[in-house]
Amino acid sequence: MKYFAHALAVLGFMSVMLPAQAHAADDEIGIGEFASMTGATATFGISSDEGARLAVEEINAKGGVLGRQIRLIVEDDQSKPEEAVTAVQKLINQNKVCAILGEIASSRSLAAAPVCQRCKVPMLSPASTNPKVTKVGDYIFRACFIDPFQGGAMAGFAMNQLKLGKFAVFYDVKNDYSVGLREFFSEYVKTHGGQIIADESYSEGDQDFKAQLTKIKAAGPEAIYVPGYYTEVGLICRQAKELGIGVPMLGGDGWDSEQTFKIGREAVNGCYFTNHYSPDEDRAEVKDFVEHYKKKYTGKTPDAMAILGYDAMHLMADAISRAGSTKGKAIRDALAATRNFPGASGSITIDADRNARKPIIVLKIEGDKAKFVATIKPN
Amino acid sequence: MIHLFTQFPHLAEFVQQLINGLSLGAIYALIAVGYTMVYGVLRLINFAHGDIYMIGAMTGIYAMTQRPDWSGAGLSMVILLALSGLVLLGAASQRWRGRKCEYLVVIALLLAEVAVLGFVPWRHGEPCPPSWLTFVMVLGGAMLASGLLGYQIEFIAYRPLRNQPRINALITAIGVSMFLEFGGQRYFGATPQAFPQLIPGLEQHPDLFKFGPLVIPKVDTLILCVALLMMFALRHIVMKTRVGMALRAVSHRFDTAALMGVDVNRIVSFTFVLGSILAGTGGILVAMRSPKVDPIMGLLPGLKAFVAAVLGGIGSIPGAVAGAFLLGITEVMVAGYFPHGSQYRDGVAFVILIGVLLVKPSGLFGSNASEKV
Amino acid sequence: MELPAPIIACRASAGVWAAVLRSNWLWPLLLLTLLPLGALVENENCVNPYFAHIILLCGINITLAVSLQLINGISGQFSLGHAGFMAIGAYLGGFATLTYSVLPADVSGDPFRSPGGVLWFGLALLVVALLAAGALWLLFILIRSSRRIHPAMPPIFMLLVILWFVIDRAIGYQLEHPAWYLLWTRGWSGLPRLLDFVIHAGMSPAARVSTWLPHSWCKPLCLLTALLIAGTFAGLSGLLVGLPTLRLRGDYLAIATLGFGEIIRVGILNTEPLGAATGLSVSIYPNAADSGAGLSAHYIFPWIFGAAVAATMVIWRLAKSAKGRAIRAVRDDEIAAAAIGIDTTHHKVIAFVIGAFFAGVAGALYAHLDGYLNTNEFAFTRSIELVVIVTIAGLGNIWWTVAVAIGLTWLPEILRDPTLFAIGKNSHKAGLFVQYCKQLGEFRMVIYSVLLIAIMLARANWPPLRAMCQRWLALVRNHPPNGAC
Repeated sequence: MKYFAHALAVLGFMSVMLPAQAHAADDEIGIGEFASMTGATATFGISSDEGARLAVEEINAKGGVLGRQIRLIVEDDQSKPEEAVTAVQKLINQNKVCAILGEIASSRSLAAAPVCQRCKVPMLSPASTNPKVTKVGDYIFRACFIDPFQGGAMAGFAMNQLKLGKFAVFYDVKNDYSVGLREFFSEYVKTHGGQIIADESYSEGDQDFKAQLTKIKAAGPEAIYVPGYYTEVGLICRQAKELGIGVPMLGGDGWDSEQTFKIGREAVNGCYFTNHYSPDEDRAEVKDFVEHYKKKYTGKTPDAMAILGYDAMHLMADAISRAGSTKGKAIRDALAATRNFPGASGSITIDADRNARKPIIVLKIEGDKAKFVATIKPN
Repeated sequence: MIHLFTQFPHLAEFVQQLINGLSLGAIYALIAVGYTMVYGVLRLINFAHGDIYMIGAMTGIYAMTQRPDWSGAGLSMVILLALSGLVLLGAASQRWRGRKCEYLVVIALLLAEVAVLGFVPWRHGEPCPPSWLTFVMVLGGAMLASGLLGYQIEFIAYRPLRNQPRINALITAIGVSMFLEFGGQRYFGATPQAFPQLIPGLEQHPDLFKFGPLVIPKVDTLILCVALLMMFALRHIVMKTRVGMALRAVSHRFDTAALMGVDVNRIVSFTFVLGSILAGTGGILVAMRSPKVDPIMGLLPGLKAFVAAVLGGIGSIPGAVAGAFLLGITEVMVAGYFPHGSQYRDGVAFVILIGVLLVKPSGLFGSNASEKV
Repeated sequence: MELPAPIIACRASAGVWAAVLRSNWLWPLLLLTLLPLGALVENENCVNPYFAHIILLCGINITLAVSLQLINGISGQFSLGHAGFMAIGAYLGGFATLTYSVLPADVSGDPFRSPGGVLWFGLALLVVALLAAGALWLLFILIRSSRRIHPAMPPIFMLLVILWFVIDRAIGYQLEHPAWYLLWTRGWSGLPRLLDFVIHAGMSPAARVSTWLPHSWCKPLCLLTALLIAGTFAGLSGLLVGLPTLRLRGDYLAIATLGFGEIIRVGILNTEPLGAATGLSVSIYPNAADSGAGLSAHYIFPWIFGAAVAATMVIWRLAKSAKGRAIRAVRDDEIAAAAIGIDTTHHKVIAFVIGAFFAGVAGALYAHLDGYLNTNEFAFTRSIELVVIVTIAGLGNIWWTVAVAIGLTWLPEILRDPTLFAIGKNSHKAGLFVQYCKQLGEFRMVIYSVLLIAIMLARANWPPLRAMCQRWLALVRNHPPNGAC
């Protein structure tokens, strides 16, 4: 009994000897996806996964890519950046995927991108807007606009359309996306003659924002820019209303979720946010997508993450077929050469920085729904 | 007075921050009172207390939005409920072949819980429309659920360890807390859920008083009133009733109280149930205030409430409330007046904790118990 | 005639060494036989890199669990803040190799080239930290000496100092050049500037020294220096945690250490150079070899293995030594130990320092393994996982801790994917059992918690349970013959 523990420990060390074989798909093309299916920003992951799976279904129904069917392997990163790293490592090393569909949230894309770059596996992010993501390396791409454009677009809309001059910014200090948007919004406002009279921060996961909101209220802004994720945004709007702050709140694409309305309820009415698409848009591709999505997912209206996931999957499949092989370098070059790819959310052209240039939609929340207000095209 | 506030906006801001601090403190007070009661009687830091608060909020959501779908596995559920009901009846007299069988009650409760949680096919539906009746029923349901849960936790996890060194009970408490949190994440889903509106008109007109730039919201006043009411009610129970006398005896000296004829098990269960009811109420009230509920929402408020209880003197109920208000005000002042203070918010509680433990471990209102050799 | 003292000492020590070897043959033997297995781990063709990663994590967890066993089990101070020590080691070690192991003249920016730079960073940080600590300690002594004026003065002075700090920072936090009287603000911004100055002053000589070293020695030396720096600073923070908490007992100590762990985490979260909330991507020390086996110090396996073995051996020998007996005496009855003459302060603090040292080393290895650090990984949850390992193994058992650490590192991976050990191509067609295991894997943390509660309850009720089992066994084995009673 005395040496039992010794024996166990020895056995443990001996576990090195065990052979193992990783699963390799032979007649299928394995594409990995890591998304936040659970956790704080679960609707992002669930939506983009639903869009991607709809796309995979469509592609496989038409015969697949290069004569082979696509197998989408999904890993949940629980809305945590450290889990994103583990998920991507597992996808690359264990499941041996040839490409990865990356995260919606910029923080998690930033955490996982170095792994993909190091292992030379192309990563395509459907909706990460922070510019740092594609700067990690030449294997990292994105299929959406970037935050300098988004921050500037909202600032421009607020100053020109809503005729506002004094802004307060309330950003999430733990979130790269939020920090970036705050920087670009403030820069645009200052260079175009506006004022940032209050600059407060909160942390993801906080429940009480009244201390900072009181400070903001005392400064007297005409609008408050809250470039956070929907989980806190709903609470912030409610507490702002409780404190008697009547000015409109402005936001970014992190607001796009049904939870914003469920948590914020009355308080989010009259707020504006920038997004990648609106289900009310007049274009045929959007209407088609919304119809197919509703059919597959029983009446659920798709949000921006769904359409972006759908477009990213189609773009990836198109790149693989243009590359003619599943080698990482070939797919990477094909992605970099994408010109005017007809995505449902707009035409996608990948520029020299591996970003896409797409228009921004501004939406206004009125009574539980986000209504289309304006489109801002990239210059 | 409104002129005063409009003349000196900084004063208005300061007073508003004080009000914010008091309302945050009231939330901590609701949880801290339960902590301090349990510690006073058992000398046990009940880590699971914050999770009972979470269960209260979750019960509220389930009560309002889930409907049972009777068509499916209703039969097995009915059988299980009937079984547990029978066992409950049989054990209600707590006599089975002449011996006390409290464990049968606990088994019956567990069976009922398994039936309700696992076998009844719940369907997500539209939330009930807000009304005062709904509020009372949901509050009552949350109190019941958290009270029962507290009783079961005490019976299963803490009672067998009563004569062991306190560390073992602490580790078990951590285990229970982990079980509730991660089990909650598996069962309820790790995604935050929205708590529906309970009191009609609360969202449309959230403010109670408006003194110029100063605003006092209704929900916060409600929480404050409930916290103070609880404090006075508990003090009355502890100081003026027979049960309270027995409670004080047990907290002073376990074995001697037993020698004097006090049923220690019953008193300890009573303490736990009372504390858990308070936590459950706190859960509902806070969910009304910030309607984002997720299974790990109890971790940090639980820890902060413990710090508040230590600050006020652990074992003393007015101390817990005072400590909670102090902690709330300090936290809000740090977040409101320090540059980037919101990042240091969570650290403030722990700095206060270490400060109190080093300088005056008995807290503000506590008594110094010297150790006998 | 008496032999001179040194000769007596030599003769005695020869006997002692023989005894030591006789009682400790098992683990050095294991070292010699298992080390070549590291070659297999390095060879990607033999073992899946995912597997290799899990084995390396085992090693790190062993180091962490054993160091926690010293603090919790042997010294009896229930610490819930072990993840804080690990965090300090991880961030400092990772930051050191990321920024300072690069030769200044090197355009390619390859890390692990300049051990001198890493060493210099460690020394500079140590000097500046000691300066700051010394200044604060002087202040503390001043406050304490005011007791001579009146016993109630120290708390008042303490409050005044805190007020002074708050006002000073409030006035000066955004000023570029704070006035001469704003001492706290000048100190707060001055310390990083002083650190930068000291580092830059000594960096070029340090880099030059590094170029003199043989090229193949640079990488291992860099890692070694980083590990030592990580361990030292973690040990120092163990000192900082251990000293104030001397008076605390049981659950108060647990909560205080929990608080310290959280304060460390929040502090790192607010430090810009350490990545703040975004996380820090540090250089990775290579894991598997592409070609051929290599049991060299250039791969991380020998380091992790070595750290695990070193930690286990050191703590095991410490526990069996006189000092270990003193520590256990302090654990069992502090007042009686003090009555005998054992310095309780020294022994309690030394347990914290040694435990924190190894935790820091493990943290630095963890940083170099994965290359990504985020403060969420060093939160309360990790401390709890380590406490679970130590508790299941039993407070005071070192070898059981090693075994349980290995087991609990493998368990979630097996549960996550039971086909991990499958041989054959059709293994991915999962059977019912495998699917059940997969679902069970998602309940991993729930199983841990139930396991913890069950083990605590079983241990508490072990005598009656054991008696019950024995009675049942007796009943089953010996049927009482008819008529006999």
